[in-house]
Amino acid sequence: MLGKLRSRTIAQLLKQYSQLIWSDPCLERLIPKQISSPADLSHYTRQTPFTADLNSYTEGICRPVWSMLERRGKSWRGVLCLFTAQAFGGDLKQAIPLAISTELLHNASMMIDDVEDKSEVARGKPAVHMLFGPELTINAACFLYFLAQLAVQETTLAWQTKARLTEMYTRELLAMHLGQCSDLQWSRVPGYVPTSQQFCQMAASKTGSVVRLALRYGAEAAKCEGKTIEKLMELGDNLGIAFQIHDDLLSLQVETYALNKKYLGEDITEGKRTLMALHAVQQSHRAKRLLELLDRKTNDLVEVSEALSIMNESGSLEYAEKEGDRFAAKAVALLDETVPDSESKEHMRALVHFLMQSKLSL
Amino acid sequence: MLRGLLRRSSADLLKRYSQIIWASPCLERLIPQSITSVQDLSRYTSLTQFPPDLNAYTEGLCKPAWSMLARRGKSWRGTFCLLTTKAFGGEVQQAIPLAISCELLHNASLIIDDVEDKSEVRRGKPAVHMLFGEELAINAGCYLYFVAQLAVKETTLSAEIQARLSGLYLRELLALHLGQCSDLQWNRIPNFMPTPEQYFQMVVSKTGAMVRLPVHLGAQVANCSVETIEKLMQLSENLGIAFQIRDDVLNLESETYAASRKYLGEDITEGKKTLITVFACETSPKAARLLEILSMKTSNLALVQEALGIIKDSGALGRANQECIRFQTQAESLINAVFPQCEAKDHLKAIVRFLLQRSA
Repeated sequence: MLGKLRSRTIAQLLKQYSQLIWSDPCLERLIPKQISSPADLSHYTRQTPFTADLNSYTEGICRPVWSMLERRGKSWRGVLCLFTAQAFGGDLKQAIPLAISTELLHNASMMIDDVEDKSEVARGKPAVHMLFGPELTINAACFLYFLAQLAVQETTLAWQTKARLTEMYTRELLAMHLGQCSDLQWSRVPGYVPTSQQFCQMAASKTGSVVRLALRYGAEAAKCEGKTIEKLMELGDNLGIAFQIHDDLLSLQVETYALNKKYLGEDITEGKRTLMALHAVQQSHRAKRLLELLDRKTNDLVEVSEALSIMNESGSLEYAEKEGDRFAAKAVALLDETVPDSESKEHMRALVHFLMQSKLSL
Repeated sequence: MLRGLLRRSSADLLKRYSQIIWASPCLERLIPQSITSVQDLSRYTSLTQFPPDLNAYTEGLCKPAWSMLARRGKSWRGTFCLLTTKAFGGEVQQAIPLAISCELLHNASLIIDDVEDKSEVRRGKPAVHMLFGEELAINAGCYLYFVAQLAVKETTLSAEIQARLSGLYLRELLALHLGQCSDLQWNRIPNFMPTPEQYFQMVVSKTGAMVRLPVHLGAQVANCSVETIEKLMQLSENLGIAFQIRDDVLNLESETYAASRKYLGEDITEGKKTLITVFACETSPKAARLLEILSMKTSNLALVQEALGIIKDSGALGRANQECIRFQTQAESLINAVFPQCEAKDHLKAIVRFLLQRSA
C-alpha cells in the first residue's frame, strides 16, 4: 500500500520535474526545432562571409535530434540531477541547464547505440537511423554530444566550476565509450565469457557514467565538495549497474520488453553478455549450446526462445534480479549516508525504488 | 631543378614537424597502443572499483584508433598549430599536446566520415570500419573526439586559458558537424546542387574548422591578441577552402591521386557536391544529366566517365582552379600581413605552397 502510494507520487514528481527540463527556453536555444535564421546558431558558430544552407541543418540535425527528444521517456537522469541539487540546498535554476545537458547526452547515446547495435526500435517507434539513415543519425548524435557539453555554459556558475564540469563531462564520456567498447567487443569474440566483475565494470562505465554525471552536476550546482562527491560517484556506479541489470531483465520478459525492442530476446540476437547470460553459462549443463546461440546472433525466434529457456532453467533471471536489488540497496545505503535529510532525499530514494520496480524500459 | 629542390625540402620540413607531434610521449598517454594496466587509463577517465577487461579495450578501442593513426598522413594540421605558436613567440613545448589533439580529432573525423560515406579505402588501406566493423569504428572515433579535448591537461597553461581552449574545441567540433550535415543532406536530395555561397559555407565549416582550430590553439599558447586571432581565422578559412578545392580537383584529375583511392572520379560515385560540380551545373548544357548521374551513386565506369566528360567540357575544372588560386592568394597575403617576420613564417609559407602545388 505504502509502496504503491509512493510510486504514484514519484511518477507525478517525475512528470513535474521533467517538465522543468523540457519547457526551459535553454533547451531550444541549444537545439532549435528548426533553424530559420543564422542568429539561431550564433552563440556557437563564427560569422563568415558566406550564406549557409540553413534548411540542411533543420533537415539533417534538428529533425533527427528532435525525433528522438520528442519521445521523452521519463527523463529520470535529468530529474536525478535536479533532486540532487535541491537535496544539497542548491539553486534549481542553475541545475536546469545541467539537467538538460544530462538528457541531451543520454538521447545522443541512444541514437548512436541503436546504430551500433542495429536496433530497429526506440521508445516504441522506429529508431532514428531507420527514419533518417545511419549517416545523418551518427552526425546529429555527435553534434548533440558536443552541444550537451556546451550546455554547462548556460549556467551562471563560476568559470572554475564550469571548467571542472566540462572536464567531468569529457571524462564520463570516455568512460561511457569504454563501457560500450567492452559490451560490443564481448559479443564479437566467439565463446567469450567475461567475469561478473567485468560485467559490473562495463555497466558502471556504460550506464553509470550518465548517472554519475547527473549526480555530479547536481552536487556541483549546490557547491558540494570532495568526500561527498566521491560517495555520490560510488552511488552512481551502483545505481548504474542496478539499472542496467533491471533493464536487461525487462527486455527478456514478455509483458515489458516492447518499448525498445523489436521482439522478445533481442539481446540474445545481439549476442549480449548480460548478467543472466553469464550466470547461465556458469550454471547450466547446456552452457555450450547457449554460447553457441549467442555467438550465432540468431534471429530465429525458436532459437531465441531456446536460449531464453536455458537461462530460465538455470535460475539466471532470479539471480540477476537479486543482484540488481543488491546493487540498488547499496545505492540507497550510500544515499542515506551521503545526502542530508530532506524532502529531496526522500524523492531520490523513491526514484531508485521506482526505477527498480518499473515494468517499462526507461 | 631549383623548384624540385624546394619541393623536396618543404616535404622534409613537414616531416620534421610531424615527427615532433608523433614522437611525443603525450600521444600514447592520451591513446595508448595497448592497455596493459589500469594506470594506462586512470589519468583521463573515471574508473570504478571493479576490474575492467583491459583486453577488450585494447582490441575494441586502441586497435581501431591506431589502425587509423598509424597511417599518419601529412599531419599539417598539427604542424600549423606548432608553427603558429612558434611564429608568435609562444612556447612550442606547450603547443605539442594541442597539435596532437588536432591530429586526433582529424583522425576521428576520418574514421566516422568513412562510416557515414560508406568509403571502403582510406590512405591506401581498407577503411577502419572495413577492418573492425562499423560499431567499433564509430565508438573509437567518438572516443578520440573526447580524449583529444583532454590534451589541454598535458600543457601547463593557466586554468583560465585551458577553459578557453575547451570552449574552442566544442565550437569547432559543432562547426565540423554542421558542415558535414550539409554535405550529407545535399547527398540525400536527388538533383540538388547548392549555390557557390552555400558550398563555400559548407567547406568553411567542414574543412575550415580543422584549420581554424590548430591555428587558434597555437595562437592562444602564444597569447595573441583578439584582433590577430580574428585575422588568423580568416586566413584559416581561406586556406581551408583552397585545400578542399584542390583535393576535389585532384580527385577528378590526377591519376596518382586515384591510385590511393579505388579509381579516378570516386567522388562522382559518392555523388559528392564539390565546387567543380557546382560550377559545371551552372554552365553546362548537360547539367541535368550530370545531376542524374550524381544521384545514381554509380560505380559504373562508363557513367563515371560520362560525368567526367560533362565536367571537363563545362570548363568547371579551370574555374575551380582559379578559385583555388584566389583563396590561396588571400590566405598568403594574410600570412604576410599577420605573421611577424621569422623562420616559422617562412616554413608555414613553404608548407602551404607544398600542399597546394598543382601537380599531384
